[in-house]
Amino acid sequence: MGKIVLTVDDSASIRQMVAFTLKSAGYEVVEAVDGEDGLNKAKGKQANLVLTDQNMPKMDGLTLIKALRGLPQYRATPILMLTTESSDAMKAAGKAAGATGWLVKPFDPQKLLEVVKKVIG
Amino acid sequence: MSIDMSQFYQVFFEEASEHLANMENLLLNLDVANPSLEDLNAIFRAAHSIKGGSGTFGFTDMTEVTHVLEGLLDRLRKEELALRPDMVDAFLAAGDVLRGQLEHHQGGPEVDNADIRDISARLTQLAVGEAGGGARLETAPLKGSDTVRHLRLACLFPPDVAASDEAVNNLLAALAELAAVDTRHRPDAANGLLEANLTTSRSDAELKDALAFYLTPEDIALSPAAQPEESAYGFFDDAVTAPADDSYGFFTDAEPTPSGQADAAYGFFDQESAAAPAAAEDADGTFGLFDDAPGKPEALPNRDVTPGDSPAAIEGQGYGIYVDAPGGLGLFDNAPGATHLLKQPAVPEPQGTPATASSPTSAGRRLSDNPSVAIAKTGRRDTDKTVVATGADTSIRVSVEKVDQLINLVGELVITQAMLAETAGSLDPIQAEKLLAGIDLLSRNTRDLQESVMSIRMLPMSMVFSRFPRVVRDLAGKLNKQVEMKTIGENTELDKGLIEKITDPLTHLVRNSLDHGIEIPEKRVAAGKNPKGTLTLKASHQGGAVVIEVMDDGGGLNRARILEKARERGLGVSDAMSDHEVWQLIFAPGFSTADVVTDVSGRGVGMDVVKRNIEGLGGKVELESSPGFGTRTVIRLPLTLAILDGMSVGVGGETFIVPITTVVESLQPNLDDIRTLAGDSRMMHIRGEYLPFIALSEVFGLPGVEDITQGLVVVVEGEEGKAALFVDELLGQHQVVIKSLEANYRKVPGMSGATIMGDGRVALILDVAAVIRIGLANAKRRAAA
Repeated sequence: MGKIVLTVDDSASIRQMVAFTLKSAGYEVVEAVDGEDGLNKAKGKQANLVLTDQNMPKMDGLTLIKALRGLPQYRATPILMLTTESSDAMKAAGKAAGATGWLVKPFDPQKLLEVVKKVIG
Repeated sequence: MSIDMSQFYQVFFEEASEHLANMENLLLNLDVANPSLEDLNAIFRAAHSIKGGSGTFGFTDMTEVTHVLEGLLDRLRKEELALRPDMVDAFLAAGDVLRGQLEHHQGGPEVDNADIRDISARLTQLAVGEAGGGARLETAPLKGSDTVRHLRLACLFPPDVAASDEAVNNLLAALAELAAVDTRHRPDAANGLLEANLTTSRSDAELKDALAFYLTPEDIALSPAAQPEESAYGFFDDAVTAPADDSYGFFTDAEPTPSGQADAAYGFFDQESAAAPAAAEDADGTFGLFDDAPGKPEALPNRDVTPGDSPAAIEGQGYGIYVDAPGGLGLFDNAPGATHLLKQPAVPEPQGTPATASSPTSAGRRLSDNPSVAIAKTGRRDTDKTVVATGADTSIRVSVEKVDQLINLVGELVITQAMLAETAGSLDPIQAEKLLAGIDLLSRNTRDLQESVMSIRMLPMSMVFSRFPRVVRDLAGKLNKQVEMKTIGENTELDKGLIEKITDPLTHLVRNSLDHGIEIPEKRVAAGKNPKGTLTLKASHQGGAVVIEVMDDGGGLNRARILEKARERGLGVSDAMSDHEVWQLIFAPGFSTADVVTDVSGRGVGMDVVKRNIEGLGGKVELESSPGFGTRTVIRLPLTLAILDGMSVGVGGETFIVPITTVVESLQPNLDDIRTLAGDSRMMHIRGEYLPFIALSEVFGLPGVEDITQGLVVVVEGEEGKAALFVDELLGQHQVVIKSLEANYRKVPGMSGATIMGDGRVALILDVAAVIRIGLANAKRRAAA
C-alpha cells in the first residue's frame, strides 16, 4: 500500500502532472481542486503528505494549511506549499501557517519526486 | 525516471484557453472606476495559473508575458495601483498575445516577436508610470526575444570571489551556458573586474541570474555592443533592497530575502533566528522545508551537517548560509550550488552532477526553460489520441464526424419508420392491433431519439455571443462611442454547423449597428438620450426556428437617404414605398448610405452578403427601424441544417420539396392574372406586383398540368426576388431529413438536396433561387428565339 499524497491545486494540468508523477513512483494520490475541497478530502482520507498550491479560489493554500493543522490527525503530517512566490514574506507566511516546506513553481517532476521522497520516503 | 511532460499539454492548453477566456470576460465586465477586488483577484488568478502551468510545461514564452502581466495585476489587487482604462486595454492585448502563443504551441502560426515585446513594454511602462522613481519593479521579462544580441558585460567581483579560480571558473561556465563569452578581462585577486563580450539570445535577466550568486543585478553592467539598450528590458533600480539580499535573484520574481542563501539550496528554517527564516534551501530555491515546522522528517536534521565558515563571515560576502542550522546544507549533499557556495575545500565536490541539476544556477527552472520544440511537437501528437478527462469532468470529447454519422443513421431510421407506418396504414386495425400499437410506439421513440441525437450537435448561442463584448469594446473605442452590450438568451441552442456560420453575418450586423446605428455621445445627449448607447443581442426559440436579434438604440435608418441612394444607383423606387420595402433596399448589393467609408464598415459590401449567407443557411433576415429610436435586425434560422421544414408539391407525378422559409403564399391562379409577354414568357399579376410565372414542369421537363386553372401557384422568394411557381398540386407540409445529392449522386441544377418520403420514394428539395434563375433563363431564351 503506497503512501497517500493529497494534491490540492486549482489547475487541472498541474494536478494531472503531480498525480501522474507520484503515481508512477508508487504513491497513492488524492486530488482536490481548491482549499475547501482539499480540506474535505483530507478529512475523508488520512494523507501522509499534503501538497497544496497557494493561489486558489474559495480557499487558498495558507488557509488550508492552517485548517489542517487545526485537525488532530494532521498536526504532524508533512505539508508542502507549492508556490510561484519564492518571496521571504510568502515563506514566512507559510511557516507561520504551519507548512513543512515549500516548493517553488515551476518545478519538474524529478524535483517533485526528490522532495516528496525526502519528506515521506 | 523520466516523465514525458508532453502528455499533460492538452489539459494545459484547454485550461489555459479557459483561463484566457475567463480573464477577457472579467476584464470586459470590470468597472474601471471602481473595480471589485474579487474580480481583480480572479483575473490575477487566471494570469497566475497560466504562468504556473506554462512554466511547468515549458512554454516559457507564455510565462514571460504572464509574468509581466501578473506583476501588474498583483499590484492592482493589492491596491498599490489604481486601475486605468489603458491598463484594461493592455491586459486585453496581453490576452491576445497569450492566445496567439497558446495557438502556436498547438501548431498554429508563430506569434510576432514584436507583439510580445510591445505588450511586455506596454505593461512594464504602465507599472513604471505608476511606480514612481525608486519603487521596486519585478516585471523584467524572464527571457528576451529570440533575436541574437551582442552585449558588453562589465562587473566587479568581491576580492575573495575573484581570488578563487574555482569560483571564477564556475561562473564563466554558467555564463557560457547562456551565451558565447569572449572574456576581455578575467577577474583575479588583484582586480575583480570581469569584462566580456557576449553573444546571446537570452535576456539580460537570465544573464544576470547566472552571476547572481555573487552580484546584485544592478552591479552588473550589461550594454548592447552595437545598438542602444532596449528600455523595456532593463532592470530597474532596486532601492529598497539591501545588496546582500539581492545576491540570490535567480528568479526575477524573487523578493528580497533577509536571510542568507534565500533562493539557493534546499533548506530548513533556522528556528533560532527570527530574522532569517531561511537557513538554506534548495540550490535553485525551488523548495525548502521549514525547520521547526510540523511534519518534517525526523531523520533529516541529523544528517550530514556540514560545519562551514562562520555565518558572519559568509554573510559578509553578500550571501549567508547558516551552516549550524539543523539539517543545513548537508541534507542535500548533492544540492547543486551548495558546496560551491560554502567554498569548503575540505569537503570534496560531490562526484557527478545530480540528475536534476547541471549547473550552480537555477537548475529546476532551467530544465523547464529549455524544452525542445521537437519534444513539444511530437508530444502533442501523442496527446491528440488520448481522451482527456479532467478532474470531475462529466463530458467526453467526440469527433464531429461520429456525431454526424449518428445523425445520418437516425435519419435513415426515421425514414424506415415512416415507411413502416405507411405500409401499416393499409392493415386492418383490428387484426393488426398489436402491430399498429408497436408502430406507434416506434414512431414516438424514433422521434425522441432523433431529438436527442440532434441535441448532441446543439451548442448554446453564448458560443457566438461571447466574442462580441470584445468586438464591441474595441469598435466603440475606435469610433469614440460609448456602447453597452447586453445579451439575452445566450443559452438558446443552435446546431453547431449554424453556430459556425452565423458568426460572420452577426459580426457584420454588430459592426453596422456600432458604426451607423449608435451615435456619438454628443449627438445622443443632444437628442435627449443616454450618452451610452445600448446594443442588444438576443436569441430565442420561436416554433421550429431560432430567432437572433441585433438591436441598437441609435438613430435608426434614414428613409430619405436610402431612397436617395437607391435613385442614384438607378434602382426603381418611389416615395410611396412602405418602410419595410425601403429597408429591404439596403440588402441590395453594393448599397451603402454611410457618409464616410470608415475602416469599420460602410464599404457597401455587407448587407447583401449577410442576407445571402443567412439565406444560404435556410434562414431569413428582416429589418425594423424607427428614426431616433434604433434599428432591429431579426435573423430567423432553422434549428438545424440536417432537417428542413418543407412544403411538398406534386409536378407530373413527382414530388418536390419547397423549403418553407422561401414560401410567401400559395394561391389558385386566375387566368386573367397571367399575362403573356413576347416569346411566350409569362408574368403573374398578384396584388399590383408582376411576378415571373415559372412552371416547374417546364423547368424539369415533366408532363405537368397544362391548364392553369387546374394547377396551383406557390409564391416563393429567393435571392433575386419573388416568383410564382406553377405546380400541379400541394401535397402537404413535412419535416424532412436532408440528404446530400452531391455526396450520393452529383450536383443537380435547381436542387439543393434530396429526402426520402414516408412511402420510400425520393423527393428532391428545390433550390428556389436556382429554379427562378433557370425559369427566367428559359423565358429569355424563348424571347430571343
